[in-house]
Amino acid sequence: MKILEAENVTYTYGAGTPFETKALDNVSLSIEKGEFVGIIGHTGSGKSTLIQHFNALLEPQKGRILFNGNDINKSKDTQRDVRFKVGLCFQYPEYQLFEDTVYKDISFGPKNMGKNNDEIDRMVRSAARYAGVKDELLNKSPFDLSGGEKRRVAIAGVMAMEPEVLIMDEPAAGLDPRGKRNIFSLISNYRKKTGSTVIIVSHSMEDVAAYAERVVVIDHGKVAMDGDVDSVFSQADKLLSLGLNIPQMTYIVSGLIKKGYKLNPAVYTIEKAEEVLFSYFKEKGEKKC
Amino acid sequence: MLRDATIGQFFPGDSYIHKMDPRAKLVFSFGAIIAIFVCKTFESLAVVTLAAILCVFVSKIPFKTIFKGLKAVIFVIIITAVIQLFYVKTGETLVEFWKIKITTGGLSNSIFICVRIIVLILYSSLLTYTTSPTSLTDGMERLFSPLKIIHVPVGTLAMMMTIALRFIPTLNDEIGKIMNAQKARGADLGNGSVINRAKALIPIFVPLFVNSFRRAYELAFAMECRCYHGGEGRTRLKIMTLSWRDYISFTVLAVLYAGIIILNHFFTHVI
Repeated sequence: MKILEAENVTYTYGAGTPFETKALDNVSLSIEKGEFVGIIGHTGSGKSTLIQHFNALLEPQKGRILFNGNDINKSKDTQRDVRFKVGLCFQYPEYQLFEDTVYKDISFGPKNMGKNNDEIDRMVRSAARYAGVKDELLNKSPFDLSGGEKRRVAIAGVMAMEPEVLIMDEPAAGLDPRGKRNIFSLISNYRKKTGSTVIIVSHSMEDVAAYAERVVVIDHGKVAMDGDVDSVFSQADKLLSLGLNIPQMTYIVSGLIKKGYKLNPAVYTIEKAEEVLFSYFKEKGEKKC
Repeated sequence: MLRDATIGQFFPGDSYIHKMDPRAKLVFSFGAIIAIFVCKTFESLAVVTLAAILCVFVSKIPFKTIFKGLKAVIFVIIITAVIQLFYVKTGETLVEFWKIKITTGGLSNSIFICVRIIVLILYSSLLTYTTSPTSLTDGMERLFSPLKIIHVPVGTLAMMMTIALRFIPTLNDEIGKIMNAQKARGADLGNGSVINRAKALIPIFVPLFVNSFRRAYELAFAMECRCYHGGEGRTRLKIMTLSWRDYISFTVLAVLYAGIIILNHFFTHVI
């Protein structure tokens, strides 16, 4: 079932000024319920503009955005409503914290939804658990936390609205490798437990390859590639020509293929590379015998 | 909103005015602005207005951008015009009903003041459109440097201004980002009663202030790492020199004043 759809969406920044730039050019894309989608594209490709359309922060100049088949920009009420159903977590979300305690900050979303106190309490506590915010932090000031903790509090603030679709823009930007793994494992854990749809915007190919099921590549405001992880990452040359990196292992394997080794090109982790190479040499060895 | 205002922006270019010395530009625009207030007749005001339009032509800044800048202050202009229209009661009566009376004096007064404000904005925005913030503050620093004798920290003040100007676009961007982030969590901005609206600003201003302090600390550290110790004894990369362009501008200014004084003398005064 389609949960989010973009129909021929076009958006231009600063129309009519010398700074005019077309950020989205007739983009059509649909997201299935429960999918884990990675959106990749280099800086300025239009990926951030696209996700801001998904929760009606930006209105398409042409085209429509549908949530469960309904146009989200029908009225002010539908626009506000969709923000609770499509939770958007921006890049460096820790710079949006403002309350004097972590608990109050996480409850900002549920409060805006008009929930009663018991509901709010339940939502805050479950979001804090999903985001890995420990109970003893809830009564602290968010400004006293470490960078990684702040990031998780901000993510909990979005998860607390219990959105059907969770969109995260570069959730691991600026974190060390351990923090990065942490964030990604809590996101995939959150998805497993709640069954919600997750969209991740990133330019780290390794992360997208490791966690997403489907990859959408945006380039110059258009959908350049769309498919499951294997089919997209197997086209290494195309990704490179779009100015994107590919996972290191994919790069090595595609180099080997060019040298004449007949390998499966859909490799993006060390484990998979090991598997592919071992089976290749095994096969070769058997033939020799 | 804020984003649409072009006042104070800098448009790089290589026109005659762009190439002028910032000090000369400052003197010229302040001179011209004072000249607007010296005008007492429509004829002299017309001369100053024409000079402003000529300057815009020379600067090669499109009129469209200039009008956009005017849009930001349209309310000020309208309110002043209306007040003038109703409160000046000299000359013949044009319209009269209930307590309102519009006279010829009021009408000409309000037109006169409107034109004054518009031309004033033209001159001042022309200065910022054609001068980069750094050269503008450099120019100010040099112009005010005699004040050092009475211990005014001119260099420090100029540095403060440069920093303030430098951070306007950064903070503007940041307000946009924070607003979007809070809207994504369902914040309702600009709706409801005055108290609700004021409350809705808290989630925007708290992060903005926190981030500004963080930036200020970082900048202060960076400046100390580069051994910044105030303006004392600093030399310049670019030494400002007055060229023929600047002397021509001074001559134009002098001619402008002469014209205004003569026209003021021979025609009927409006104000």
